Amino acid sequence: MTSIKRILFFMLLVSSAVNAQLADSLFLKENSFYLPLQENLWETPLFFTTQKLADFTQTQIDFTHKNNPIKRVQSADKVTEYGFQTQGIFNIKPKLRLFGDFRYTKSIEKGIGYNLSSGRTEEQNVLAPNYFFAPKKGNWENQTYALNGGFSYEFNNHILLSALAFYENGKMFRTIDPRPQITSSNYGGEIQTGYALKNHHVFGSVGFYRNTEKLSILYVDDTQNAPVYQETFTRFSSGYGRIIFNSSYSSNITIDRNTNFGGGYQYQNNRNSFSVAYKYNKSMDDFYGRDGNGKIYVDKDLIEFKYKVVSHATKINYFFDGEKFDYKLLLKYTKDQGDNYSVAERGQNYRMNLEKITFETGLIKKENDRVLYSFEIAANYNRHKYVDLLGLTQKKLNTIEIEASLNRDVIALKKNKLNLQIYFQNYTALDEAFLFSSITNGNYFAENVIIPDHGFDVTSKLQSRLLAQHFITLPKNRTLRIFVDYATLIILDKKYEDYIANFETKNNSFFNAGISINY
Amino acid sequence: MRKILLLLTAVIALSSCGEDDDFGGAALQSVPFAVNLKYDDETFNGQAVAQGNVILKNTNTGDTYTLETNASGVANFTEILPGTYDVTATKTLTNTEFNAVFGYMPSTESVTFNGAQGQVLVNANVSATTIELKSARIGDLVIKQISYAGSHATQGAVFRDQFIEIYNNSNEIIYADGLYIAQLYGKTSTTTSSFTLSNGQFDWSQSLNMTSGSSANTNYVYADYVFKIPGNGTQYPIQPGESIVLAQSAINHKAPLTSNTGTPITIQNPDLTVDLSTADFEAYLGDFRVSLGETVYLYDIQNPAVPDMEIAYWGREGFANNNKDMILDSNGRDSFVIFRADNFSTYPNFTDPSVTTVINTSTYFVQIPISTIIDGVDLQHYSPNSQRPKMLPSQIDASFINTDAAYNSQAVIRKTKTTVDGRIILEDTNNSANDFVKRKAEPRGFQN
Repeated sequence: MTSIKRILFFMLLVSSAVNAQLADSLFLKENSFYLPLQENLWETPLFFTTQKLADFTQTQIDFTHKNNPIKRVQSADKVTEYGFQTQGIFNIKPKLRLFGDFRYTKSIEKGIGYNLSSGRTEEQNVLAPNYFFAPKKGNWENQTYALNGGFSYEFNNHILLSALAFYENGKMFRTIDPRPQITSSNYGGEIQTGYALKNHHVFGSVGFYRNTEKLSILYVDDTQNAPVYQETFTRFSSGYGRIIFNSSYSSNITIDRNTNFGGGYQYQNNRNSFSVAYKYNKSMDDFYGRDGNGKIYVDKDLIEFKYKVVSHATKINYFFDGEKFDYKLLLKYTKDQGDNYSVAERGQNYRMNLEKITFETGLIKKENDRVLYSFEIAANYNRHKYVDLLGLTQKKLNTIEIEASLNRDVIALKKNKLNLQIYFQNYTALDEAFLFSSITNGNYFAENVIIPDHGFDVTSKLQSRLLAQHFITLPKNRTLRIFVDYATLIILDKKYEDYIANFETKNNSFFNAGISINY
Repeated sequence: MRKILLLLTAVIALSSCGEDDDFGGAALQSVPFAVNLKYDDETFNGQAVAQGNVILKNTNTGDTYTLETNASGVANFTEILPGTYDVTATKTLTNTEFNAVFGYMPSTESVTFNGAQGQVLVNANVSATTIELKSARIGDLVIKQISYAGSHATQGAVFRDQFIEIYNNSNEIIYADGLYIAQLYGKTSTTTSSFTLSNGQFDWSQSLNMTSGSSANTNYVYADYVFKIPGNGTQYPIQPGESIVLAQSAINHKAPLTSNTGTPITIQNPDLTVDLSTADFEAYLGDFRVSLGETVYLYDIQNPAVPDMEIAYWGREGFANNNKDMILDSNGRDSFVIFRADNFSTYPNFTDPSVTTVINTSTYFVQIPISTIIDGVDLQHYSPNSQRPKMLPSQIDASFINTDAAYNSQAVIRKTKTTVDGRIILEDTNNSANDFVKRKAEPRGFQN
């Protein structure tokens, strides 16, 4: 089936989710308070087999612009993004539920240096090892579409079954020498099965996904790919500080094969839902270089570098579905370890360790359809450690993020509703240690990427956000939502001065606006 | 419930049955590495080389390590990064030292020995290598300058201004008549395959109809084209300290020109290119191409005042090389040799070993005995990302040399060693990394 056919088929499926709401069912799109529930549903649908969730289909177009003078080096100065999304839940029968989403995104990123890969350091401190880079900043044009869907079903003998599947396709390219072009194809699925006994549910799951990325780096002026032109010369990062030459820059393939399994338990009654879940995930990323004839294809003998990430995630969720208010609580612990491997040298030089403890809680109080208030707080404690034995780099970082948000329907008329939300996030580095010792020629990657990024990471920041949403009731039980979201990021101290003198301190800004329709 | 447990067990078992991803737990860090140097077995009984100079160049990072061997001929590098290395070793003995070591007096004031190994893997499991040093053949004629990078594509002359300069480094007149100049052929990447050696170079012993066995790689090099200096034997003398310039096109490239198709070409920045109108010889393939039924290449402009080199080899008859002129690779993926031969026309030619079936467009490369080579230079791609394996053995050239980039007006030019009675003697240790520098091309110029 071609990609276009897949999209059409899926959109048809999602669009068929017409109004068949169950009585007293929860409408996940009612307020952002319920977004984690939707994420949970997409992730662990078996925990929702007996929960009444209202059918919905939401179609949205949105526009985002980010201006990021405060940033890590390998992310964009500015990002403009256009998105189209449709998603929905469709309860075919009381025991059979379909759900899914489709999203198309087109983005233009400006001013990305030291990075010719698809990874960005906007949401992660350090890129996964094994990527090409050149110092010169350039603009990227990217587009992706992603399909995600699944079903859950409870058999009469109390056996539960669900399946998830997704497919993503992307293309991105840079518009200045060196010019990488990256095409990616990512697909996978997961099967979950369990058993329900009265209020108790247990389940187990297994999943697999595969992400194939093809990269080719071209030059309009190929002479620029020479060490004498340091700004445009393409090099390869194999770790976090180990910089080497790699002849496969012109063409290579990376395949990430990912397997996971997990299990969980849930207790649920009319008002309360308590669950605990565990998931193990192993990702094996193989970098394929060229053969003796300069050709590139997938063959075990052509693997030059590997990167393995093993992840453990444990999650405890509690949700209270009350008459006057709803309450939620999440405790989550994740632990990731990444290890690289160089086939030629037969060994490993890079290790990443990440630990994250998340606490989230929130309360929403409603009166009829009006949200009187929704209050949420969260805390994330992160422990990072990155070591490159050949870099030579050691970076340790313990951070905490404290978040708080409040939203309220300030206007609630029969056909109009206006919801305002404020959100704050404070980021603080509690502890840090950094060591870089040059053991090869040239420290420019460390001086221009690793050290400035550490300066960014140790600096305290405050993000403030204001979201306004206008809901308009349309005929045939449809709702139009117009939203505007604005956020800023400021730095709160000058800890960066320990690592970098010329740190950009102008505030970041984020603007997002769009329109969506629920039906 | 039992079914569920069984299913879960199967699920977990399935997900644990992944590919073998045991990394072996080896943490990469600096390792010791020993290089054993010995003089070649055949001529010098494999004697250990004391105080030999060893250079390790990491092909992954460009890092170099230099060390002298001890009295036992071992250079013990205590800490080097794991990776792939090009190893170069040299030893120069004065005639007195030579006599002390080998028991007889050489005919020259000094003797240089060279050895090299490409793509040597160094890791926790590979901790030593042995290199055999062979006496470098010091030529009286040397390749002095190779201007292959060309000049700027829009402001200069692109590749039209390429030339090779050959120098008389001796104190006697040498006649250029009959001298052969060959451009060698080899693989352009270090990736290995079933038809390559461990350093990535072609394993010519596997070529179709090859009968030389393993000596196909050790005793010969392979050329895609060969020129010959014309003359009756005493027609083109090269005085001591003088040179001859072999131009792709012997014209003044600083001046506007008209191509063979009548297109006027202007030179925006004459300083970027050179005047080759006074070259001693030029490569002109016009008549040859017409004889093949092809048109004359538009930039192969003949200067009637400059004699043409003879085309000694341009591919096997019926399988002519596709090159339309003496166009050198601007990236630096060529090697060049000069040699003399009485029976060149009898030299065999072969396809490269990647060819398993000959077709109409197959190319044959002429096999040249290393013993006939007077001098040779291995060039290298300017980008460390695109390195190629050596073509020449260490006794001809122990290393390689390159310009900083393509089309940057640079040439590689031999260093001046000394001046004797006004005659410049050029550096000639048969180690191009030591003997040459990169700088702006200048026909008949010198690098002090």
